[in-house]
Amino acid sequence: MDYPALVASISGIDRRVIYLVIALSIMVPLLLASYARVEPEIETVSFYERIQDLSEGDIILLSVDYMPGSASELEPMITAFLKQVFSKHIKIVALSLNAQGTGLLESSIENVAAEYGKNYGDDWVFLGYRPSSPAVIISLSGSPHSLFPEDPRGNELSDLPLTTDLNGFEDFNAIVAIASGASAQDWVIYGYERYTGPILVGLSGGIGPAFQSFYDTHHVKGIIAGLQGAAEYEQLVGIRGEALRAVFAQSVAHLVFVGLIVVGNLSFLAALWIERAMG
Amino acid sequence: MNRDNRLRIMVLILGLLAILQFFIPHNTGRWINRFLLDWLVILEFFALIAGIVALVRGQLISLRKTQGNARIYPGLFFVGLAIMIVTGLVGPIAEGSLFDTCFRWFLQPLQSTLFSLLAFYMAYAAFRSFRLKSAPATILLLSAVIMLMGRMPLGERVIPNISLFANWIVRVPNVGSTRGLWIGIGLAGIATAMRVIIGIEGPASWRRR
Amino acid sequence: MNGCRTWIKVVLLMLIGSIPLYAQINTADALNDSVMSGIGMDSVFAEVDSIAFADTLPLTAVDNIVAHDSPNDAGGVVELYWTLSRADVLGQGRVSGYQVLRSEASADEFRIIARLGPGTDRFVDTNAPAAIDYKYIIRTLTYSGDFVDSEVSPVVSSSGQWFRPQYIPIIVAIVVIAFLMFITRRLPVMDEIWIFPSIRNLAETVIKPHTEPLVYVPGTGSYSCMATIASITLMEQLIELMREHDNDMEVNVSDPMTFSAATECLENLDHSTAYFISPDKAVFSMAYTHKMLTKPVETAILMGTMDDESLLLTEAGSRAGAFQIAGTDNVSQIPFLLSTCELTLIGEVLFLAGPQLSPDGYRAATLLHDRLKRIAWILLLLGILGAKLGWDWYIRLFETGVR
Repeated sequence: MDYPALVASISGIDRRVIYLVIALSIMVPLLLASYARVEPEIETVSFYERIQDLSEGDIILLSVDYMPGSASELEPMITAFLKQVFSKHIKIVALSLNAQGTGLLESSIENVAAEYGKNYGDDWVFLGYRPSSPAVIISLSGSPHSLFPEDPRGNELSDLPLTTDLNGFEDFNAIVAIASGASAQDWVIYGYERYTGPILVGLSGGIGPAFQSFYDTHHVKGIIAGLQGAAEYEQLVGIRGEALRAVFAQSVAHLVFVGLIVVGNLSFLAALWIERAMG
Repeated sequence: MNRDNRLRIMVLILGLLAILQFFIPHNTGRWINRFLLDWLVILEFFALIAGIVALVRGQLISLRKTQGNARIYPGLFFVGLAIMIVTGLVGPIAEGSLFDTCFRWFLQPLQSTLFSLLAFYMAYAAFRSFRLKSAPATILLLSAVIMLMGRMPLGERVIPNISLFANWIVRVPNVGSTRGLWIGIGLAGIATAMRVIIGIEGPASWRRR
Repeated sequence: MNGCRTWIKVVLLMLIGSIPLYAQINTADALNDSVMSGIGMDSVFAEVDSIAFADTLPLTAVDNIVAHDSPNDAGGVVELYWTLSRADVLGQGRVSGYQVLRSEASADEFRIIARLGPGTDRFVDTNAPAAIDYKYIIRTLTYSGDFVDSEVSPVVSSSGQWFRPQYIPIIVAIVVIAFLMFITRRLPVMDEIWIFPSIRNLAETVIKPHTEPLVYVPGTGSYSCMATIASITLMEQLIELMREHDNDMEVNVSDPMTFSAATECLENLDHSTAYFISPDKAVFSMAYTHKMLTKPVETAILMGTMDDESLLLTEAGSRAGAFQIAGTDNVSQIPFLLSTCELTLIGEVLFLAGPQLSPDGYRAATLLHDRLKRIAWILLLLGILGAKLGWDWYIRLFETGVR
């Protein structure tokens, strides 16, 4: 057997073969429609319990910053969060910090609100989109009415029962920031020093580990990180959502990743050994 | 006073105003904040117009220069641009409108698809670069494998207690190194910002003249 | 030997970096305990255990009402505090709650402005227009419908403040940085200062003869990001180097304002162009990938803020066989850049690259950055000591907000 050629072919395997293996490792488990059972991390449990500690009639400020590209990770989080909040009759004031995510967010809230019989203006209000998250956060700490005189539906905030008496951060019982971009960090940098209540974040998987230091120093009181975090949160809330279904496929893909790394290293070591053996 | 010095003074005044409004809780501070924010939006808008004009000009040149099937790409650019501008300006943009349909059924799925490519690229990058080439590369490799296995449900069944190691990596070395990086980035960012405000750093023309 | 020293430094940095984690947790807990005991809650609840005459207790009003303007705001907010009614504290559920009544100081027309539950000893009136004097009464209610009013509070009006004293540490920091910036620029000529090897390699790559234009991407963030400004500064210096060696540059930009800045920089370099693609990161990534795969590319430099699309960009360059140099301030993207690029500038090195390559600025920028980091280290070490030794005054120096 021509070992050097075999090793070379493994090391130099066409990228399309790898793409196909990954695609199958994700598609097949998804088609099998299996729901995983996950062990929630302490950060996710903290997020869940902070919301559970709130009472009926409390108000949460929900800030969302995501694009369609990160919707698969963040939408399950948002849906599970809304279900937990509306089931406890907590009210929501929502805003978007990304232009493309604005429509997605409003539809998500509308769908879940309809399911729980929640009325716009009394139980939830959508403030709309504004650019530049640091400026938005600093302005909101003072008065939301100056930054959002009316909502995207044309209602003046002073006419809506939920927002008529809002005068700043002190009127909110919690701030929840769900983001795939830099705005979650901006909430920690600019929001933490202006707000005494809990700040909770939901993040895409890539930026989750970077926020661990903020959790350790109590700048944020809970983190949901990535699809895994969304699945943990869905399990805590008690719903079988998209994240619990998708995390099984993600697990299989992770195993395939590890397998590829092992195969790559074995071929690398074999190539080194052959090189040394041949002098 | 020449143009560059006038620009430097304007940058200094606006920079100082931006710093000042941060310290003033009074309504005056909020007014300054809104004033600067509004002008930022206006400037971005006009810069966007300049960018779109340059983009259209570039695509026209590309359309003239390319031959055969390659002309499809600049052609599609103009078709897409025309559709979104016309539907957005002329028609409604609420849910159910043509503009909204184009956004939800073309742009959003395309964006999701493009970002889903990350999974494939990561797999190939992992296969290619996570090799036992040196000590730092070995540590990177081991950390990657531990994190991949430790942060998913099936990992515990394959390697028991792997999640403990994964959590340790996230909560100790990751936190320490991230914090150090952020402190350095923060200090460097402050220094750069002050250099811009004071006028030491600026457009290339400030040094040429 | 050098590699060994590097490893020792890395391990020490990781250990030291994780120590403040534990120090801050302990300090936060200690501060919390001291605040709670300061309110006197322990002494109040101590009385509850010793007395149990719920129904026979007379209904008493709250007292010791304190009313003051909420500090550090734009006005319109008044804060009220009071001592709870003894019937509430000792009465085991007799008090059903409180009502807050307000009147303008010149009149005696009290209106109910809030209803509070039992056990509430504070209220924030967020609807008190500035410069109007108000007075307040707290009404104690019972389940049987009885009530008793407190004495009228002192007259109070809200006003906006012109300065937040908690931000004094920030002002001190800005003054120190400005002072350091001033003195480092005036230092006499010194021997050559150490330049980061990665920055040196970047410069050597750029001055090598190229047959194809060098591709440059100033990140995908907006022009208000400091990393984008640092990237444009670096691009200016690279242009100066390339001008001397007759190389060309093609800049691909996703932000319109960055495009304007890049266009102005490239006026100084012949046969070089800036292309504005799209602020949408997915669209930018794919257009960049198409360019990289359809045109010959030797070197690609990606410097600035990048999010998830960083891997899409660098993988495109890797497939095109380009020599890639990348740098970002986004910590979460560094692993992707490390695994796909030949050279990576991590974090602060990106900000130093431009000044270190400039003939007049590198000394000042490097020295300023060194001094700032030394000050930061000293403050951090003192903070670790302070947290362990209970230096609350030191920890409070760095509190800049409402906490």
